[in-house]
Amino acid sequence: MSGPVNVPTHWYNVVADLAGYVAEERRPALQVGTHGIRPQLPLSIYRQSVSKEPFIEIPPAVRAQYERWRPTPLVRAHRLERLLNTPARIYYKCEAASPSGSHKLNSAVAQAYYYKKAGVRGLVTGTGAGQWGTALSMACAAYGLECIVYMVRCSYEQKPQRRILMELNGAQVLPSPSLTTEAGRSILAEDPDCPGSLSVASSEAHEIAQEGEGIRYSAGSGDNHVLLHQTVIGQEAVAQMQALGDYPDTVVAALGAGSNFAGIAMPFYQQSQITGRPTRLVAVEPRSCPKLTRGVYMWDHHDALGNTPMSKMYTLGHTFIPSPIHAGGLRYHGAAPVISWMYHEGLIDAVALGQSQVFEAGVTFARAEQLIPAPESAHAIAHVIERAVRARETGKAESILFNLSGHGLMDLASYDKYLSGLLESDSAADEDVERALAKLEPARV
Amino acid sequence: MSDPISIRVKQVLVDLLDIDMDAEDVEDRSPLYSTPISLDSLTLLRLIAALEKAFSCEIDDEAVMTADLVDVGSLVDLVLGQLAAAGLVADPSLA
Repeated sequence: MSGPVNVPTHWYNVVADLAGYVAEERRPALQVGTHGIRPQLPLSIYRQSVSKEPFIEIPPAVRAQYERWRPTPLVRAHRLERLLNTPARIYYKCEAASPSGSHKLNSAVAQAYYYKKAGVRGLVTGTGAGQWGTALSMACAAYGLECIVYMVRCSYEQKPQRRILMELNGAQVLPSPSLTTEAGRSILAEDPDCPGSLSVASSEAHEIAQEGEGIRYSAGSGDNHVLLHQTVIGQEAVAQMQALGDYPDTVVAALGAGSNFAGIAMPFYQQSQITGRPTRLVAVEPRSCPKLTRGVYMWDHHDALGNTPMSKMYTLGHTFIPSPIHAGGLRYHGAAPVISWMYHEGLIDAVALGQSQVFEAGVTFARAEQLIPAPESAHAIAHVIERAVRARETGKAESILFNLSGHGLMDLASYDKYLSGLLESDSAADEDVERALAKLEPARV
Repeated sequence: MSDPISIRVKQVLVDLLDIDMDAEDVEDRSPLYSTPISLDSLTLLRLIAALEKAFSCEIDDEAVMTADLVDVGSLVDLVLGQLAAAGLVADPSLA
């Protein structure tokens, strides 16, 4: 279990250690209502998002919230090691221990704190699998903020308990695309059966934020400040590994837009800069949404309608609607600009895995460790198992740490499909990706 | 005629956005969200951060979130109000 470590006092800002990285955005055509454009971020969050300082102090009130569940356990997966008969040492950082059941609460409480201080009435957001929406609904309840969640329609239908959980926390939850926004109506007009995507849900949430008095948009992944807030995970893990007398050769996490990956990986990147000891940082993405491994490094929007500024990132195109796989949190067309830059510079690695392999790994882990991982986290587990099996074959006793970003207790219907042999194949997803890449081909120059 | 603080706000604005105008020629009633200024929400925050640096003061989160920022004059008023709150000018109406 975890060693004697404290909750970090600061967030770690990797941008300070990335010589050559320049945060740039290109502005979209303006769409102005009668009131002009409303700032969506409080200045205090904006300052964080553009800061070059390596450490940013966590407000005492936010740290006090963290202390309700942090530090989260760092666990050695002895039973999985034995099951795999591997010389590899496997550890996981258990973010499932948070009240919301995932890492997302680390940024949700920080953002709710800053927005409350800025005097907003409520927050609106988009969520994929519902982990971000759940976390934000809890944080809003804690700070007395209203909460509106646009939940990707296929996840909304796959996981009705998620909606109930968010509503229990006082949130209003709508399936996206919806008829409540221009963005949703235009997408439904083209495809009435559209399963939705995070970028569509973001478009709807942005629209509400621009029009709703006292309502602002809150992002759950991708933006610099979100990655920053998640670094409490990796900072604790560095200290916990040191307390255990071990250190990871490889750190693995799933990648949607990048918050759980950055959360665990960036502090180890910082350590490699200080000590010179390299740690391989591996992002695992779904084969149905392989932005790093197959996407194009180009300027693109963060939302489906193209209303947000453009960032340079690995993307499958902002209009790409991934297949409705059961790891809804990873169904996002692009990777965070910082993570994209690090991948482009060869500072991190990425692999893409199919849904069947991922669920097989999730079940293997659950039976060995008696903890059901979220399908998103199972992506990381699947790659860890690949590495552990390779270690068995080569005899190399690698130390591997992965981020168990959330539990899968809200994903039992998906596991049931897998166990019943009814899980959708990846072949349809492959065709979707090929079509998206063909559309982007002119940009690949 | 504009006061010195108003001119400094406009100078920061034309410098940051690389607008081909003299600060003195920017009118208070010029809209922030159409040409030649054409701010979006993130650039507005970048501008406010630049104003904080130029005036060596911290602008309050709530003041920005609740301000009705529609034209250059409203931006000047925001800065004046913050400078007054910090005791850096005696009274915004006299600045």
